[in-house]
Amino acid sequence: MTQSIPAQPKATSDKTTRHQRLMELVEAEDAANGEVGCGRDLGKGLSGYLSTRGVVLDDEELKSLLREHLGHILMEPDFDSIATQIQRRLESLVVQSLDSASSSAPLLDSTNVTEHIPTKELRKLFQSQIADFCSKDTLEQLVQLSHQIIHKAVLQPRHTWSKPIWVLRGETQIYIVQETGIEAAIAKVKTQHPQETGRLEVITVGGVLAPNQVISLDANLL
Amino acid sequence: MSRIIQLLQVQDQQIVDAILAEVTDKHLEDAKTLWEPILEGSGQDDEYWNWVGKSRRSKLLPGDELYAIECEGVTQGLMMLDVLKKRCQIESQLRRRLVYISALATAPWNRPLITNPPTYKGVGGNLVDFAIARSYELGYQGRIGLHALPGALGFYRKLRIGLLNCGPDPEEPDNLVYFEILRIDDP
Repeated sequence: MTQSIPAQPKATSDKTTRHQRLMELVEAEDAANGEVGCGRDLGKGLSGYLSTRGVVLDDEELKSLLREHLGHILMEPDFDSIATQIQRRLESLVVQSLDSASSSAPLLDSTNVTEHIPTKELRKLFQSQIADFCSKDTLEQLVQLSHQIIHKAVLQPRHTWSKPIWVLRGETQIYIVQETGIEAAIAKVKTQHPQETGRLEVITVGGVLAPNQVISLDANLL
Repeated sequence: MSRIIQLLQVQDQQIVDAILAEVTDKHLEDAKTLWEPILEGSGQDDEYWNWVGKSRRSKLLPGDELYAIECEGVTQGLMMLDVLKKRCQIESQLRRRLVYISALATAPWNRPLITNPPTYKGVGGNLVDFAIARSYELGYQGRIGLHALPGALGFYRKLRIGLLNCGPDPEEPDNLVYFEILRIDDP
């Protein structure tokens, strides 16, 4: 795949600015003792497997099926989330590493799961894309897990989640505000704490990745 | 096509020029022959990453791009971006497009935990800055997202690019912490 390399912004073409930015980057790197990595650790097995085979579900086909059956209940963010989770489950299944330690949030008891999409249609979709890579058993497991993932999403669609919780830091105070967006959160602080006239920095936000998400703060912030 | 960037050469504290470019076979070969033997048994989070495999996989998926930083003819850092398939998670910019950093690593000799003192500093930061530039180029207003490896949380918190810590991602098998750049100046 080819693409152009973005031109360097004018502002950063200045030598001093560039050196200053480099020093900032070095400072950030030093704060983590040189550790800068990001991305999933797929593990030895999966990494090796994918290097030779490449197991990939077509998001769009799956989302299209979801829209067709659940468009009246769920929205696009839910479909994104379901597709991501199913892809991850597929990867886990492929390397036989589906266990409680390595899997994501626990799924539901399968006896209480409603099949929101007919098994036949899910199986057909998966068969058309990954049958060459998976055994029949793996495919059936993926179908069952998909039912669970979809059912969980139906129980708590994204639009029913509470507003996110923003943790903001002022000059001397930390504020915790529940609001849809950062602008509304800042406005709320300024209204309720008119003495706060300085700049507010966002430290973290909770409740954007999952409902009822616990917020964890570094103790030395307080 | 490529761009010149700067790194800090730790040994003599000199700022040196390096090249950031699209990944070539030579970069992948470096990762395989120079990086992997050092990472093997190191216990580093990316010990089992296979950049050749990532490159092969990226050719199957639309929107995947790979970049490398090269200095003195040797690959110093690698990054894989997804510029198409991921969307923003933060409520106020939910589902807007972003550049997602699928994987980023610096060469093992640039990590103090493996080689102390390291050879170069600034590799990771330059790659992240490039991801932001790429996001602007694509019209995504500089929004990027990433899941930080546990040891690198301090790095992403201190980058001064507006990365917002959204906490551990329950959809990630390892509950990695998700960061996203929040932009509030949309028209």
